[in-house]
Amino acid sequence: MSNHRFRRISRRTAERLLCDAPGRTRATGHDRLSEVLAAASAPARDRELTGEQAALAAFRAARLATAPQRRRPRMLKIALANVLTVKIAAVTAAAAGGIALAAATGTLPGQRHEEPSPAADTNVVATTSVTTKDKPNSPDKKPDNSASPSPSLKGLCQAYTAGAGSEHGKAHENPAFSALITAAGGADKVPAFCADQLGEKPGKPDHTAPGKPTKPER
Amino acid sequence: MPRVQSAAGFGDSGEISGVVWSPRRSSAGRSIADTGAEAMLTAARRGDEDGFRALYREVQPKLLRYLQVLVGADAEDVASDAWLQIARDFGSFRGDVDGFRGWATTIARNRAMDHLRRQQRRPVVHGTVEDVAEPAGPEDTAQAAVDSVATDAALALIARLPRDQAEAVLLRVVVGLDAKAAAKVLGKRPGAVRTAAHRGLRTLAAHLDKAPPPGRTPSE
Repeated sequence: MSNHRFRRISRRTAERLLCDAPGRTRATGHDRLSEVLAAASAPARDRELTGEQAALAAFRAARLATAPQRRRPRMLKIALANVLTVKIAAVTAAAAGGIALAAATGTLPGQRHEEPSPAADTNVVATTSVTTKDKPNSPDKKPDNSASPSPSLKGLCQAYTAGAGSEHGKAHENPAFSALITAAGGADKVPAFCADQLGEKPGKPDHTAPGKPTKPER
Repeated sequence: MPRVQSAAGFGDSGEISGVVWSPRRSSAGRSIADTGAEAMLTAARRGDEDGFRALYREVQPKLLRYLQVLVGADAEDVASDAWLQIARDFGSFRGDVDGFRGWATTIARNRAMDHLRRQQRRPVVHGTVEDVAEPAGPEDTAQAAVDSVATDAALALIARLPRDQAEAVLLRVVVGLDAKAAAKVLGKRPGAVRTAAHRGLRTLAAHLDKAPPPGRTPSE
């Protein structure tokens, strides 16, 4: 019984079967095939829509995430990065800040170095930043020389330039940088000053900033 | 043919978004009234949830049936995955409602292929009738499909086709894509898809012919 031949479906008929509106029985002379196709494309059943809430939730979430078009995430990212760099800058500055203040105030033109030596050199040890940390026991010379101001200002400069490009305006307002600004002789001179500080070998005093305190000593 | 769709652009995951999806419609009278459907799409684009819900209700049953043939019982899970991606990438979709159907189907198919790969398992529809070892023989399935005109039975019957034929038939008949859009989803040439669909229909007809006629006989 299963061997009898079915009528061959022409291309045209096949196309008609494929193209007819779903859910409608195809009148092609192939009734059983038509019925099967109609059944396969029958209207939706409720149990086929069980994922609706999840899909809508995903749509909602996506809409929130991209509300003003895809610009948002990038802006967010940048903002986040900025906050981060400012934080890092603040932390670095805080670490260097003690020195910075001690060093800067200790060596500011107006002030003689009366007591900066002990303060400065302990701080230098603490930061372990630059060249001089191995000689904390010769405290009298170091602080006046390149040692104490350079590392601290360097630290500030590093913090400053790390936050550069994005947040200079904020950096200026940050009290942690006031020492640096003072040392540089003005907020607008900080970049040049820092370029100098970071670019030069420690102790080499070819500075541009007028307020730089330690050089005159040489 | 200038309009052979290069489906190579459709990566396996993700990078479908942003592609303009507006297949030419070769036949009128597709499943949804176009104006209403376009309105849903426009509303959804504006962020309107009801618009997206309407799209879901329109497309999901089709996807689910297609997936049922591809991944069997896991169809619902795969469909959920697909809808998460559809919702997420919806903002980058460009195209009309037909395009949306094709785009969504491509995502669903990619998720299904991922799923199958993960399972290291052959697709349910792989192989011919004889290869499939299942409790019900093809005749029984055909009988059930004809007798009850049940959707699931019809899908089960289609699932017995070789996969390329099954997919071609489903994409055209169930999902409602035209040959070109179906070809785009499958990454083939429209001609190949057309041929596969025609073969699929012939094979189906053969199965049906082999089955006992639809005289109300539950069994012989």
